[in-house]
Amino acid sequence: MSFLTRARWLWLQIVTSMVLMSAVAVADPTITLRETDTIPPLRSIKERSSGSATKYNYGVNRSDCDNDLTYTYTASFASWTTTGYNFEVWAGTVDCKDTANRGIGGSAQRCWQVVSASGDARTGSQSITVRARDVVAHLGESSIAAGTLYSTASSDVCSSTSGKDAIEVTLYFMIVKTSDSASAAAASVPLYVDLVGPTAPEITDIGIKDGVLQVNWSTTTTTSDSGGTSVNPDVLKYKVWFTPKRGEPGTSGSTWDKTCANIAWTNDSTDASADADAGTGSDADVDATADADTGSGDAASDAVAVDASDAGSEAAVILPDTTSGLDYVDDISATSSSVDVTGLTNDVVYTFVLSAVDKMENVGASSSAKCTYPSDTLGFYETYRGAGGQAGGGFCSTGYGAGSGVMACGIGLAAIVAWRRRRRS
Amino acid sequence: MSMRMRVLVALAVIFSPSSAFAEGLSPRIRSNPHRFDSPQHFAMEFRMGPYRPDVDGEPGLTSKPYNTVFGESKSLYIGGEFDWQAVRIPYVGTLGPGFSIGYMSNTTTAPFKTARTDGAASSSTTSLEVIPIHAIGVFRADVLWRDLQIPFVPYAKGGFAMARWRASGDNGTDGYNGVPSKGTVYGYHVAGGLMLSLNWIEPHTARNFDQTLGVNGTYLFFEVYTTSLTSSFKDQPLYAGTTSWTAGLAFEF
Repeated sequence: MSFLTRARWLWLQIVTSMVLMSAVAVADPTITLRETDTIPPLRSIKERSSGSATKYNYGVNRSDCDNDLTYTYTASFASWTTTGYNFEVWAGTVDCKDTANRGIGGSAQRCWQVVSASGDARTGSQSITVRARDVVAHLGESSIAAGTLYSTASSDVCSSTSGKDAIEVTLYFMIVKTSDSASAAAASVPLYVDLVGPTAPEITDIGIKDGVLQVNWSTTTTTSDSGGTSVNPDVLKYKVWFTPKRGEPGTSGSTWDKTCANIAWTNDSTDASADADAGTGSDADVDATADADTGSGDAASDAVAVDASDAGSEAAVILPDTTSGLDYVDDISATSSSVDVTGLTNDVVYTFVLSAVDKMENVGASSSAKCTYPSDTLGFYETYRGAGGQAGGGFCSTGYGAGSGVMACGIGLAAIVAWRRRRRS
Repeated sequence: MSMRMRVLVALAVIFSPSSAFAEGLSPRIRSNPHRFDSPQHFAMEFRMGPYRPDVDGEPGLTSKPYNTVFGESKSLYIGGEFDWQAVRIPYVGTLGPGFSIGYMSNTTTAPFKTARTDGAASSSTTSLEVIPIHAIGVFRADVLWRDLQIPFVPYAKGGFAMARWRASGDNGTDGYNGVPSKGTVYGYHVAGGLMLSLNWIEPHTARNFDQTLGVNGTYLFFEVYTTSLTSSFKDQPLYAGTTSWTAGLAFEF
């Protein structure tokens, strides 16, 4: 075999090896992702910058975190036939495909795992479940210890709200090479995280009417760079809670001094879970106050005891809708600064608190409580009747003195019918 | 020239339109401003004025409830009227039926029945609303303006009147022992007034108004009237009528 022939043979071997190696490289696994329609909860969140476009369909609010909701995604895998890869899911506000952001090579870790890594080869479509708490676990932390791997986040990550106010987190579903941790394939999806409710509004006064109390407040506003103020764009609505419920006797007359000096609305700062705990042991201070003032205040004071933890701060507070002692008015427009609470009983003392609700349905810190009672008023018609006037009842209506009215209507109708018949004849 | 004619001529000179506008018109129009008017069959009025229903005039009342609640104040009445000038009486004016409807409302703070220990003020309101409706005959003596160019049109109206009334508070229509605080009352309506022709002030604009929209005449008017509403199908009527004045803008077309 001549030198030239050998050289040609060697060249052929090199080219063949290169082709085979390139073929192996093309065979890296792939992953595609689609959001399923079973992901809870579906929220229509307005993009803040434009105020109109819906950018994020899914998000995590304080309630989702407290309730440890899960988000399910469907990933399709292909060409994963060999070992040497891991499936990992990372979260972060930076590009987690970059190994540096995952703390590889000793650099500062800025992303965190939200699912345990798995080295098993995957094929077809598979469901991947992500917990809301894991998504927010390291959000807002200035540094994450390099090499930190997945660990189940506790409820504490929900009550720690620093850096978790209206921020976009991206989930990276990646097939990672075990050799160098580089991303072989990745798919990503954004999640909007907002665990912080609007600032607390303040009830300015309560207008007193007949069976109605008008709650007035100062709206939560934002201040622009130029110093101007405008309605806080994050506020979706306001919600007013009050107690006792409509129709319940509550306290009135001599059993309550009506000065509202003994308002029994507590802010229990020891319970960060922000659930309503009317009637529980955490209301001992309320009970004591009410007992001292009225001698029989347990029921009433428990009824108004609401955990408004972190009141005065910006932490979201979940006030109850159905707790036995509370009633509420919901869906009050963000631009409103008052609401008429109707259907109340005169001379019964009602206590109110108010919260703003943001577009992620976070209920903001509650206002301080105010209380008063509606009173019977003397309107024009009652004054007129009191003076001996007898008018009223409407046209051809029933009611007081209806007999003559119905008779008059009957006579009128009969006259019309007779007139028409006469014309025809 | 008789004395009567001299007086009329003098009045015509006094009330003749400004020479600047008159100079812009052709001699034929100046001699008879109505010569090229479009056909005229209707009139429409938009009016407003003070209105204080004569509730306290009802016989048998032991006090004056309207005055007690609303004080001496009068409310603003706004309304409109549509007339069909069915008959033109040559050298006199027009005569025909008309229909008018208006609205007045008086609202004030309703006091507490008993004083509160905290001294708080009431935020409750109480109000009385009245919707007067008239079916009337209207006579407008436009001979002065049409034939003598004196820009005033005296008129008179009279006929059937009715009104819907309603008293309400924070919780909607007030009631008293189950009686709804609303009703209908009937009576009569008479009125007299004087209209000032704006065509006389702006003849050129008026002519354009007529040519483009068919409005023959535009007037400012002042009217005094009495609406007596003291009858009802019910046991007692609420005396919702009044004697007052109104002013506004009228169009003939």
